Amino acid sequence: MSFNLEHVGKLAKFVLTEEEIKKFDGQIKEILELIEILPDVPQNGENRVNINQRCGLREDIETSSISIDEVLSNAPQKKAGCFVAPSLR
Amino acid sequence: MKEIIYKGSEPSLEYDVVIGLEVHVELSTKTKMYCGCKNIFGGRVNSNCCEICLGMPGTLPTVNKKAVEYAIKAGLAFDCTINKKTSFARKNYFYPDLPKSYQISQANFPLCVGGFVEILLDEGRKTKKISLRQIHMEEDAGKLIHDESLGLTLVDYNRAGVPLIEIVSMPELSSAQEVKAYLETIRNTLMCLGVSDCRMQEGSMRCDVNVSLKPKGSEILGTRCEIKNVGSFNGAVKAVECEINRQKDVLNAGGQIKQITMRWDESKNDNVIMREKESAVDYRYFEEPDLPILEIDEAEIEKIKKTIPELPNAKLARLMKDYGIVYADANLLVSNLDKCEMFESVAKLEKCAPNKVANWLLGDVSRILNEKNIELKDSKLNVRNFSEMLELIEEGKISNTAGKTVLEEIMENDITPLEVIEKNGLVQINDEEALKAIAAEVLSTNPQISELYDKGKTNILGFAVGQCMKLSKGQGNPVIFQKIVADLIKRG
Repeated sequence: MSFNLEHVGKLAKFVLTEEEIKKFDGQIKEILELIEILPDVPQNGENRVNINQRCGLREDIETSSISIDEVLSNAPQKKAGCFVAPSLR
Repeated sequence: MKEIIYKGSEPSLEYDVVIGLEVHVELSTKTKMYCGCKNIFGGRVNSNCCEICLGMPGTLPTVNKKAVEYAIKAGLAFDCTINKKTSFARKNYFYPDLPKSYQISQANFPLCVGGFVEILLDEGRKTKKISLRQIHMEEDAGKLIHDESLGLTLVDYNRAGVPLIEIVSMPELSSAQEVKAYLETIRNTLMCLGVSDCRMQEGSMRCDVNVSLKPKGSEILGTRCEIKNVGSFNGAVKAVECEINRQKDVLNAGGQIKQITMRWDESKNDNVIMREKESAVDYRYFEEPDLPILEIDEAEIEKIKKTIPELPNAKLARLMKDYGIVYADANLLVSNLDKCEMFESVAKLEKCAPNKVANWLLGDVSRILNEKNIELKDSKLNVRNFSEMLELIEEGKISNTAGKTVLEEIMENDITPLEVIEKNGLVQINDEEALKAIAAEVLSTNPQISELYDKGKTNILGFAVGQCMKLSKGQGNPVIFQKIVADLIKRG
């Protein structure tokens, strides 16, 4: 499986040092090797995605939202009821 | 078709313009796409959010049945094939407007494929079919509010998870005017279906535009540039015009078009570069593991098909044919369902010619609505009082000018046209002797009217009639005034 840590880091907006790239590259490759065997696991004749399983649809009925305080409870920084992100302009 | 980089070496080279559009439309369901939070515009920031639309770990999405129904309805209206098995996919990108870091969209198996949007051009004399690649379902992202002074971006997730359909066209549009007609047809159709309010000013309809140029007649497409998130019809037209001109200039100067992404800046009246696209953005699509494949019954599709009303293009043609109104009026009427319904109901009563009904509705009624910034349904105008007013004008009981006063009143208050006339003394004066006296007074106080008329400026009659109407407080019959004034001047 081809994998480019720098590219993935860029997509996740991570700034990685040379050392970190070297360190994480090895770690992630190990993880990937672990899951690479999955396609070869015997499936006992069953599809990986059971296409007979119907997608349950939800009626268009309102359920209660959570309070603004709860919404923001994990926010590292908040202002005027909003999450604060670094300037994007 | 392959893409190729052209070097525009001949300044006189003529180009074909190739435009493709992705139109995002918010569906007017009561709740969001994958959770039961309210889907409404406005309201307190972050007040319509829950663990699901905030992307908390361990939560699972469930698909809104109504949203699927609306998307199928849109697909059927545009003659798409509805896929009986459709699946959702994760579109990954890391940005603060997206709490899950991915958007649940559709990729390999979209709900609707193929189909077309038929646009009317040249005042309805020409039509063009724009093929669609697909219509798929997805969810909207949150709203970013940029605070320049603090150098911060604030995030409101009320919009995150609102159901969207994305209508993807083939690159078959070839001018800014076609883009406008295409967007109008989509808006009118979706509004007619009742699946979206398509309020561009509220962001419920937005589009991404791809523009490229190729030498006239060439089969190979040029490099395309994308303008993202255009939020108004006029913005789309101007953005396309600017981009066509920019690319022409680059090519005519012997340059190459680089693939870039821009956004339309209303204040600068120009497109602004967002980022250079060295390679396609890597969205790493994969099948959404949290949602099984969605199966659609043929019976369900048939049921939805039966709910599709007469569509705007058919309606427009019928209005022109049945009522003899012009294209411009018919086009304005089909873009507003309430006005269209009012027009047909009143025109059918045959109190006056249908074009007069259209003129009043699209003229003074629309002006008053605009001034008050309200919709027709928010005013007190109804089929009964509107047709009564038109009948009074048609019978010569009130003048057009008095009609305007009546209209203002009946749109604002619970009062009948007759009551307005009585209250304001607006009954039209048709008595020739009474009108002659008024006309004579106007001519004696404005001697220049006769002088100018004698010098051949016959259009001064219009001014004279206007003065007569003013003096009669709008009650005189302008047709009779016209005749009397002309007679009086000629007699000297």
